[in-house]
Amino acid sequence: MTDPKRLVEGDDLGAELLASARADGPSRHARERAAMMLGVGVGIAAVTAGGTASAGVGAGAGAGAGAGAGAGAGAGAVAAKAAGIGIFAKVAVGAAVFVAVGGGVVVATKSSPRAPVVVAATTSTSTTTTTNTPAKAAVTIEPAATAPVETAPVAAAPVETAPVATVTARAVTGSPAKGAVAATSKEKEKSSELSRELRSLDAVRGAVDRGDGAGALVELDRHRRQFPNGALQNEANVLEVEALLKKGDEARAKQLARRLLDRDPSGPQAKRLKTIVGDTP
Amino acid sequence: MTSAALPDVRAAVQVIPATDADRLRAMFSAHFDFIWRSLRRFGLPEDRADDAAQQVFFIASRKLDVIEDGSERSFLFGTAMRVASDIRRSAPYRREIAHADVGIDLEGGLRPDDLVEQRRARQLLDNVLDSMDLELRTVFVLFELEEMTTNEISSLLSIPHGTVASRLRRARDEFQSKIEKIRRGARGGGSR
Repeated sequence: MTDPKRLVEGDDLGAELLASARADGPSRHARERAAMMLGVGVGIAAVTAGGTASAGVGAGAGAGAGAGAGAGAGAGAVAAKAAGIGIFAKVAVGAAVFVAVGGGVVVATKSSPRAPVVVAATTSTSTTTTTNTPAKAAVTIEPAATAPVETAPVAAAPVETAPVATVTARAVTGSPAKGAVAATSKEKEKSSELSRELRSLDAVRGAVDRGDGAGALVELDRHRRQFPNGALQNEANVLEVEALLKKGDEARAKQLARRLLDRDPSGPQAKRLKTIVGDTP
Repeated sequence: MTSAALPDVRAAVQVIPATDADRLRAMFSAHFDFIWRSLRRFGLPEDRADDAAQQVFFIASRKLDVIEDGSERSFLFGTAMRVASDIRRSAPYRREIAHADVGIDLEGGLRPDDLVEQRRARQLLDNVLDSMDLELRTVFVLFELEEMTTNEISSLLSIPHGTVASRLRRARDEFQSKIEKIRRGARGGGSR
């Protein structure tokens, strides 16, 4: 049995309303934050709404961000392949990114050739999950049909749009993808600011991961002075809880966790914070 | 609470094997946008969809061992449905909605020229979808907006193809009926 013709293909009001949802898609910022909170280092290629063009970005070596305000509702086809430190994917919504993070917040990976794989656990029994995964030598690339890309040896230099700049990877280079969505200067600026903030929090995370709670708190203090109105304040707060725990100050850690929970009882970190305060059965 | 009563959260740290981490990355890259869109189309506003999408993947990160290879999308989608439902039922969310400017009602007589405006069209679509039964809405959204085939939907939702076809038929009828009401209201030039 064949499927009926989709209503969106019509020319009536229903089609118009349905078409309005074609622009649905997470903002780049939302994706970055989620990747960071999950601890997934991701390089994502941008594809236009029709899914026909792409711009490559490899983790740690990405070319410019595919900004792409437009989203592709129907372009759900995603050809993503994890590659240690990066994923090259065709996604419906333009975006390019970055991050390697973890511990529920941000992770430090600065000098390691190994990609950190740190996942923020939210179960009632766990707090932070950390492990290392060997970074693969190259980002797996699935060239878009209209935009062949080629790999090249790379540069491990930091890239603004790719905060995980330290990972050994190969750059995705080549001629600009046809139809690739260019980031607007405003978006680039925002991304750069976020990248700097992420890197700043990396230092805090690094200290936490080393078990240096006191050092992490010092770094956190520096971070907050540098980014008083940062976009990642929630993440910084959760890192503070972790730093206090590492320092052995569980009472203050719990106090802070409780305060954060009161402020946002259903936020993405809520379960984790509940674990810390001991509210989870 | 005394410190003795505090749970040893540090002892609860667990290491996720590299293969699982790779898998999570792959899941994130392949399905994050789809899950976000699904949450949005289950009626969550954008900021809520941001948080909820994170939540869905957090849950997945804890259940990697029970998610069968090849069923990742299905697991994530089912989780998204539950998360969206939980949020929509939660008291804080209900308060938010109660105080929000919902803007457009289904029969409230939009001026025709308003309908060309994307934002309003999207808001109106939200209202139409919100008024639909969840089972119908799910199939409708997957077919009409995600452009999945009925076979794919059947596989994703683990329900028979005939059920998908039936729900889709009913959903489309319902959708068209609501659209007709809106159109009548618009023609009537009702105020808004």
